[in-house]
Amino acid sequence: MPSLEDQIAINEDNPEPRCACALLLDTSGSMTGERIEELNAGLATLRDEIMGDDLARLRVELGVITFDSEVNVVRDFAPVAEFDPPTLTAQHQTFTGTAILTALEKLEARKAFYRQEGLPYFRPWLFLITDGRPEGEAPEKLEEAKNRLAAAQQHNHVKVFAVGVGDNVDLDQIGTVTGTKAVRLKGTNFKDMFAWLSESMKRVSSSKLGTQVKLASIDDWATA
Amino acid sequence: MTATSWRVFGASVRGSSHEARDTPCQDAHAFEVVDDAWLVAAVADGAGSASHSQIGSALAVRHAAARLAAEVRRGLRDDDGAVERALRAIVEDTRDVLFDDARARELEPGELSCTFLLVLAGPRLTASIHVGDGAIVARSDGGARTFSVPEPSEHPNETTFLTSPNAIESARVFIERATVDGIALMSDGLQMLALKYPSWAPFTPFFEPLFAFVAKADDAVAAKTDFERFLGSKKVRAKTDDDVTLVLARRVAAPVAQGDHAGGDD
Repeated sequence: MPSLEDQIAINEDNPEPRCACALLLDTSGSMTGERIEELNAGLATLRDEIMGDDLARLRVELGVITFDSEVNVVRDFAPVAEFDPPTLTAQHQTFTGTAILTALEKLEARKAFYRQEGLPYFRPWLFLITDGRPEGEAPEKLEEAKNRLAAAQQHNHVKVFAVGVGDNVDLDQIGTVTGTKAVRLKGTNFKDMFAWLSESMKRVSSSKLGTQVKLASIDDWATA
Repeated sequence: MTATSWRVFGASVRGSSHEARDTPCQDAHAFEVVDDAWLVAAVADGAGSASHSQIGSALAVRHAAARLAAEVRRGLRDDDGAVERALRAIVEDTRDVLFDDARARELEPGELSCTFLLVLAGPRLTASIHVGDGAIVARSDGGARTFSVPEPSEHPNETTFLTSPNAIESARVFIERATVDGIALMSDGLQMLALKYPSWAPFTPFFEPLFAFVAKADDAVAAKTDFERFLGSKKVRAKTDDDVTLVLARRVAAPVAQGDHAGGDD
């Protein structure tokens, strides 16, 4: 007599939900040296860590947007299996506002793609890393970014994290712009920060977590 | 017409993600058959992020099933309005029970968060009330159909709970003046295995053999073991690391040995 397991078929055709994470990375001149090197190393490990998790590697999508005096979509959203970690260089000023606007635009475009393809998706993340004040762009840009981000969060369209690097960054300002509590990286410990991010992405990928994702402590790599 | 009754199996099985973190199964279920003719069944799925949601889900299903069974014994009225009011009153009452329990334990109500599904099926009446995700499937001559779908939501990993501020407004009630011969309730762990996305229509190769299994299962003890083994099987665990609950009921020729039943992780 065949077991129940053998008699019953599971639907194999349903699509995996997508979990998009936009990495918004400051590549201004002040990031030169150890900061950009550690950032580059961290991006490579992020991919490996996520690929090591059975569920996360089917669900997580990464996008990388850098900002200095230009905003570049270095890696558009794609499944983590296809993610080719970039090697970033640092130069010029800091167009933070423009970067945020671009990130929001790319996230909305990706969601439109998901809807078009009939793919379920979890609330995407926007992970901002910056080491200084916005500099060089039109002041209205920052204000527009702040407003757009506030609206997006109010409608539950995105989850935002903001990390400040070094002593020149004004955490309060970043907090005001992003509508979150920005934290400060301990030194250049991008390694532990990315370990935390990959663990967090694994938790978000994992089935239902309710409205609050229970994340691990940030104490290893950040101060509030 | 020969007398019929309901044969019911239910199981809540802890998923691998909770096993890995050594946290308990947060799903719960309860069911009762009243006067052979009426099936009362409830399923609740505790929120993963809530510290005591396994308490919430167990409380919710036991309380709601008992309340609804009592309503059935008192005699449900023939009009849909009365049935809907009764179901909504039960949900509000169950929500109050969770809030009271949280208060007694000095917890925030959110720590007992759970989704909630409640079904009543009997002669010429099939009704449900549903908060959050998970689903209810009904079987009748035309085959299986989804009676209550998971709550529409932009993000499938975010849902409304019984303790949420908008729980009552979000509760969906469905009433049909129809007799069904099979009912299945599931928590969201099984959604993507047993239903088709995005329509949420039943995946027939899942339900057909399961309903047939219940119809033929005269050895209740052996059948229950098979049922639980299936829910904890490699086939299921390959597709979900979440807790899974399934309550499966089939109308069969009476009599069927009865007793009410409530269970968490059996």
